[in-house]
Amino acid sequence: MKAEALVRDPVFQLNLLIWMAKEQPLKGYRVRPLFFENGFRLVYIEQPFAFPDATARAIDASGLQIKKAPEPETILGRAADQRALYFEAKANSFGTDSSNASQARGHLLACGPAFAETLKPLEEALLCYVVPQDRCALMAECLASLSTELRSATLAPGQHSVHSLGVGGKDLIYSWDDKFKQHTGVSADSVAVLHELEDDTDPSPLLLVFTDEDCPNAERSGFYRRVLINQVVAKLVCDLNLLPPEKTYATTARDLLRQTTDGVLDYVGRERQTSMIRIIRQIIFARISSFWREKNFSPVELEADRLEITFKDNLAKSEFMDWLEDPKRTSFSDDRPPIEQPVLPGLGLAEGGSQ
Amino acid sequence: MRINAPDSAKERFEVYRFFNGLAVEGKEGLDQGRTRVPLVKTFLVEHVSGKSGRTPKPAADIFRDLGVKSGQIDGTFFSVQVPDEKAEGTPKPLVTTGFVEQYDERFFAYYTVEPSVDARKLVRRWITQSPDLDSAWFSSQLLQTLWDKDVSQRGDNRFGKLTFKHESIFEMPDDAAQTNDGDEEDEDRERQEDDEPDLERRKARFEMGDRIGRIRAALGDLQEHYAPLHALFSLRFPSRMGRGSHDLFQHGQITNRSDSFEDHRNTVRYLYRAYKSVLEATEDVAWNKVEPPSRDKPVGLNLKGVPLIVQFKEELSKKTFDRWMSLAFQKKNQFRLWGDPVRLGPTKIHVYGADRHLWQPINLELTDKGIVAILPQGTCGNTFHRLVTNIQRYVCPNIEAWIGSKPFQSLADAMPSEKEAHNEG
Repeated sequence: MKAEALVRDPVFQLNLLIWMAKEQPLKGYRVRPLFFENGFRLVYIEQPFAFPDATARAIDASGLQIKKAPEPETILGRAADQRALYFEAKANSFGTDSSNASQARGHLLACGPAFAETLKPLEEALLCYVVPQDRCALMAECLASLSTELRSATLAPGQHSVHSLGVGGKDLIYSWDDKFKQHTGVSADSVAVLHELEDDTDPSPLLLVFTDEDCPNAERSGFYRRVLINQVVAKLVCDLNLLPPEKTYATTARDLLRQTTDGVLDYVGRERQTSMIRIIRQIIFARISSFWREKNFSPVELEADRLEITFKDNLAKSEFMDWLEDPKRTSFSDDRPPIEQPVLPGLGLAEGGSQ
Repeated sequence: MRINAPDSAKERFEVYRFFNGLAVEGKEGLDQGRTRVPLVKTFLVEHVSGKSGRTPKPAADIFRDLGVKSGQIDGTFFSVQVPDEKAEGTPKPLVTTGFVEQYDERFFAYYTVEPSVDARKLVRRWITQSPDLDSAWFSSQLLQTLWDKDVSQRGDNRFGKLTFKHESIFEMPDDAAQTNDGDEEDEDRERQEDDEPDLERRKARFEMGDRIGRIRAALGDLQEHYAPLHALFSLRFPSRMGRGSHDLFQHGQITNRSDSFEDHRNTVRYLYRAYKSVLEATEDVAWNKVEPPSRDKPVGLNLKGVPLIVQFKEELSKKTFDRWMSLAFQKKNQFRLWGDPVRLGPTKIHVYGADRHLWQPINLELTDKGIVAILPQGTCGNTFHRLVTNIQRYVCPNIEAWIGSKPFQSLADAMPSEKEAHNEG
């Protein structure tokens, strides 16, 4: 069943969490807004946590493997009591000796006294690990061991909680433990967040956070890149339709991504930023430039990172827009562009894997 | 019959007097059961760049780009001259077809006495050609609220009229569903249909003209039993001044059936305020009234915005859904959407695309059971109203809709009462 595979997909997990914090009707919601209903609102998405100086020094002195800028999926906060939820989603549980343990130690410390120091007025955070249902017990065990280990190194981890995603009948069920109930005041143990799951239908809601990653489902590995590309092309189609002849439109991959991901680009890690930018340059910009290079009076100029488009008249505009608006003709690839390729747009890289 | 509007008016009252003269003549005609002169009608048009992130364009520039010659009469009132399509030879002489009054930076009213079909065609051409202009979209949900809150209370013995239009065009073969934008050919099409084979699909057009008290007593029950009666298309407002009325249509047209142009203009201004307050409430709910993030950098806009959720009360068949999907993204379709649909199941697609009309991005989930739409912040709320209007008219007449957690219909709660609106001027 598609839903069973999806509960292990980090992009699906993250988007589901954000939808659960989004204002929606009590009846008729798209994803049950559990967090919204309980007063929690979005504070951050994929924002690396900055440790206060004292914690950072204590981490250095501990000799333990601890990630210095752990990046939670999202942080939600509740103004009424300044409580926060700090989420990390995983496809699987892991052991204390896994490479994920260093990140988990970082998250545990971020949810200790360091949290209020960094994110005042929010005061108390609960670390919530979201894993597939059958991984809950192992995940809880691992977090308990890591907390003990941190405490014995005189560090101050915060409280943690383990949540699960699983399929129950035709519903996708989100469940939690007692720690979460105490922290939030929620009395139930679980809720159905998606309903009417069907074997032949992917239950994902619209993506709210975009990514260049492979989709774990092998049949459609390029799905998330396709969404990212469509989103950016839609922005280009809008901007260029509004462009009068003889005026120049100039943009960069970074600008377009900033506008279409609405600033989230600036929040995500440098590596991910670079690879999302690479997709826009190597797949969209290069394809546009190489297709129009052959034409007389190409409206397109690609200089380093800058895409410039000028229509000499309405005819040139409609010829260009007819092409750009036709997905069959543009056929932007959703394959991952090779990293080795030098990011020098305009210097022939379009002949590579981007067509 | 064309009545030439004054083409060298010195002040707007000259125009009012001209319209008044026609209104009296028109009303006499109506009383005698015939329309001797075309009725005065107004089109409420939204200047979308006034609100969106785009640089606002002066009205004169927008109309100039549309090939309209405007003659300034006062600061907010100008005449509209267009080439007379009916004249022979080239170049075609200019003819004054009506007058534009700018209500504020966002809304215009176009007053005209051109026959309805011609006037609609002209306004439609303007809004199709200019990504800066759109009609004010009085969705069925908004018309229903205007009926409930206002018209149904205007006196049980006065005459009211409601019309309903629903046509499940996606139940038809592709070529038949591939009409362009609906209204403009509506009347012509209706005339031709007598001679055409009738396609089997749900197609409902109703007119309820009766005393308001009687309509009010019957409407709820009728709607409960027959879904297309939720697809309200026009609503008659009995005049506050005396006899006569004003008909409001879904696409922002208001036709004067009273004998006073001033009364007509007041009604238009009341409806403009009502529409504007609903649009602003939509935009507030959709984007602004979101608690600010705790630090200076805002979290992404798509994350701040809330979705429009529409549930169909009757599920679409797979065949209808497929046809809707194959047509909704084509250039000429009523939905005016652009995008490359990604299929997630037999009756589910996602589109990260654009509103072809205003050229602003929109993300959509479309299924046989309903839709979810997300607009980026700062884009015009009109897109939501057009979408809901078209869904009820062409896909499913009986729907439930919300923006965020707020029922779509409750957006009209922000509307000033009729009395307040009139008192404002």
